[in-house]
Amino acid sequence: MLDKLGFGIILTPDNRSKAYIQKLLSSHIFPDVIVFMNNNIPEKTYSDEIIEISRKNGFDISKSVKNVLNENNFTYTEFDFVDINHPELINFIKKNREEYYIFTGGGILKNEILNLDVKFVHLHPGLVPKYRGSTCFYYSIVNEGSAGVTAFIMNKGLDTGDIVYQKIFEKPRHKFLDEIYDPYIRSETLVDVISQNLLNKQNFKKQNSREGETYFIIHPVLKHIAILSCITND
Amino acid sequence: MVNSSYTYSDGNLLKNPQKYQMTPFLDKNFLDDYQRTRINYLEKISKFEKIELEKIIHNINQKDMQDDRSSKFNSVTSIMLFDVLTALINDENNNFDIIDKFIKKFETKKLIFSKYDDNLQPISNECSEIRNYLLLATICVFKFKNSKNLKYLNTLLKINDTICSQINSIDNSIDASLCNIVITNEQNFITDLIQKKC
Repeated sequence: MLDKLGFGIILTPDNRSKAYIQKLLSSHIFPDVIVFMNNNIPEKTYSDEIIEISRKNGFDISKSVKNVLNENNFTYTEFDFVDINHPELINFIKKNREEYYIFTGGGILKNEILNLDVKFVHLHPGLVPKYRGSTCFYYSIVNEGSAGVTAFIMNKGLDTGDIVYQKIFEKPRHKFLDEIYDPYIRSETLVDVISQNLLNKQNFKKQNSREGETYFIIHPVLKHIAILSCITND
Repeated sequence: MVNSSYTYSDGNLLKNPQKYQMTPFLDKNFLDDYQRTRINYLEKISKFEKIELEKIIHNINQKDMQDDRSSKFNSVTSIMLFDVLTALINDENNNFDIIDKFIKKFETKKLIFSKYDDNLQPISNECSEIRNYLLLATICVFKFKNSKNLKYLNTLLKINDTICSQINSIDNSIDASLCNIVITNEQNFITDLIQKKC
């Protein structure tokens, strides 16, 4: 019988969740509760090149979340929707209270779910407060040649919650930033957070929401410059 | 503009604004296509006289002094943006929080409305006034030049996509000159970034 770690995870059918569950598994970390929001979108197929690079980064992009859960005999609860604010999910969390749930992303948490006596942890691909916004790692790569991840407790603001942990990563040497690099840096940070027991230590750092910068969705020209800067020899 | 991989200024972006979400990575040729596409748009307005920015500001101010202010501007938004731009050019020690608030507004809907209330909520459905897009783009040029903050270059690229999609509605030398200024500056910024980073 494994000790309870005090956290659950909410997975979705995407590359980020693939990296999260595979990295946790390979680090022998088993969440107490696993929720899989699965709207059964067709699984994408990937080239040999991207599969090989994903494996080098510690997860296999060709393996679906559901297959990984089933092959490893995880106990999980599956919903046929992908909506973090769905009443059925809220009811489930009310009945399966964990102190923390890892939120894999996609959508803003509304008051009803935020007001539950549960803390949601988000792995944001930027060092806040300097880099806020969902595509901020591209800006960071152009500006600094690196990107960071912040694990924080979600609140009503945009990337303004209390900071659990931050980690910096070198820019990658491949072009698959959305597919591999983003899930890679977030999942590596997640493993650090859990393996170092940082949630239970509760040594969180408050953010000043007025500090820093929010970067909007990156324009394709800047995105190309960021990616080309990764695959061009220095 | 045939066979270009740069399609982000295609169509009527005032009717169907770009969302720019999860855009695909192509290859380095994409950046060449972007540069060529922008140049092609500039050629469409090359028949107009090119006026320097200082002269544009001076001309608008002159008319402003002679006439009732509101009659010289099509909208309240254009008055506000013009005032902000003038203050930026004159390096006045103003509080420019309004610029970031306005950029956030544009980034949300990719449109600029002709009237906003004091809380920057749109109180008009009119969003086709090209001068407003040109003024905000010019403000972004100054903000990026001064700060090197990519946030402003990012918004400049998006506004200029919208302006290019409306290039045929430009019918006077002032707007054509502003268009030339914002696109030429944008291209110089991008060329510089490519040289430094790629």
